[in-house]
Amino acid sequence: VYRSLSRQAADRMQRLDELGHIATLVDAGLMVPTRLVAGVDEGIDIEGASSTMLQHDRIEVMSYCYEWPFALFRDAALVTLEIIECCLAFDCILKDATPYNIALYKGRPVLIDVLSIDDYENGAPWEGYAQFCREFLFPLLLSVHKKIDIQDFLRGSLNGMSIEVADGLFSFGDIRKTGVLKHVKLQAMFQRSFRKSDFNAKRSYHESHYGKEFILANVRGIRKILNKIAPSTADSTWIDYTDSHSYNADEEAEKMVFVQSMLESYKPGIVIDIGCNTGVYSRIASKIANSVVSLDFDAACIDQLYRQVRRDNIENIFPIVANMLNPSPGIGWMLRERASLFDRIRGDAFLALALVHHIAITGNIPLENFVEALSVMADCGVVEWVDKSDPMVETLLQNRRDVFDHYSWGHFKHVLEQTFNIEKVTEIGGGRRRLCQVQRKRG
Amino acid sequence: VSILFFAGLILPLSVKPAYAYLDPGTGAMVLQLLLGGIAGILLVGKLYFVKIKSIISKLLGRQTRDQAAHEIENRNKNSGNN
Repeated sequence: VYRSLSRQAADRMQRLDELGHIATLVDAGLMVPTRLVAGVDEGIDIEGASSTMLQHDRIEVMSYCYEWPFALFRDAALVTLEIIECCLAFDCILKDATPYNIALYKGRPVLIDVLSIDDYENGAPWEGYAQFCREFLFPLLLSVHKKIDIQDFLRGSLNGMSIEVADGLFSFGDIRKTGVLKHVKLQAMFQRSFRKSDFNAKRSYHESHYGKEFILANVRGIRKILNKIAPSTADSTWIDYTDSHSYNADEEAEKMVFVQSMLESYKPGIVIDIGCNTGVYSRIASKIANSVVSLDFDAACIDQLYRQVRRDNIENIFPIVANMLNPSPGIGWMLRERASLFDRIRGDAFLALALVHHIAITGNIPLENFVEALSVMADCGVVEWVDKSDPMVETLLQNRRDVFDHYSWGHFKHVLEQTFNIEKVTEIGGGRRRLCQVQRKRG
Repeated sequence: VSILFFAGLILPLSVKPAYAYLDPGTGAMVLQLLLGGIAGILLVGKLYFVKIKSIISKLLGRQTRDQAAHEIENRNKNSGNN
């Protein structure tokens, strides 16, 4: 990936590079590997731009903050703060503080917008603090203290959460909770008092001759807050799914062997694990495929997967909170600023294990449309059929009228064969479940 | 009646866009000032003192017509910069 630079930016980057600062940030795992190259050498010539370009390592799978679990979102915030600390040490600072400048690279969140590193003029305030609050701190605090789904909120708001909204959502009694008094209530009070006054806070700050140690103190204070807060995962019904599903150990082993043999025969580059739960099969796939995109609508499951992936240093799993019944749309300018999930992610193989009943029965989506979605995701894969006789489906049907006459193996097989060749089928648990290895028909 | 109704709708709208020019980060900047220690606390305290003083003087009706006219003139000068 190349990035063209204005002459001014090129000078700045060259200076950072010569002083070794880019290498410092990359080596610390805070920034995507970045090199300065000459456009001519790479066969690129853009009019009006500097001849120097930036070359970045590719981000295999792009996900946005409204698809991140809590732990990843918090890590992204911590990385942003760490970069600011690092930068201040060599008299630079981050101009912006937005999660859209952070991406998952080799299992860790890193800065991808290298150009947001700017010179720090002594005595200047941290200009990005307000943005950091709107786009990182307030959503995180509200997620922990008020159990607000950050994914849903951020999907609807490109610029995070305004101080006024954050202030309105916290009551006065919340001031005893971590981070609320200073960063929300006090800030909101100042905002109310001075937003309309002629008082120029920025000029006053400059005139007060504060050094960068004041910014450092604030940054460290926020880091402390972020390290203290943690969400409760007790509410998720899915987190203990692996212990509560309707399989016995033998059947589970059989399923693993089936999935593994598909992966070994197709050797896919990117596997999309749709409805991955806590990612048992994603981890199997990660040993064979280049990258695995793990999708699940349950944020607590994805949160757990992300934390395990980090702990075990797995570099090629991308955990994404995504609901197949309502995946991320395109948002922002012309709906193209942030691409929709389907425009962004395409795999070489899919895993759709124990998924069909949630789409067809819970979501009331016809099987034809379910198969269409699979074919959009990848050309081959494993899809599991879960019959009405399966206890999990029985549970789903307990509280609703069974209007799903077409929900049968015969019909599913018929629909599947419209698009795919079924190359292999294995019955598990006496036909309660069937694993199908499929490949798209040619022509 | 309908004209009044529309005027009622449009008037507040015509006032509101001015907020688009308000800095959403003023509170954040003042908070950073405050975090600067005793000097910051004193400065923010002074700001509030000025605010309270102006409210009191308004309540007491001290603001003469001359002062008001002067203020309007100043504001016009300032808004010319935007």
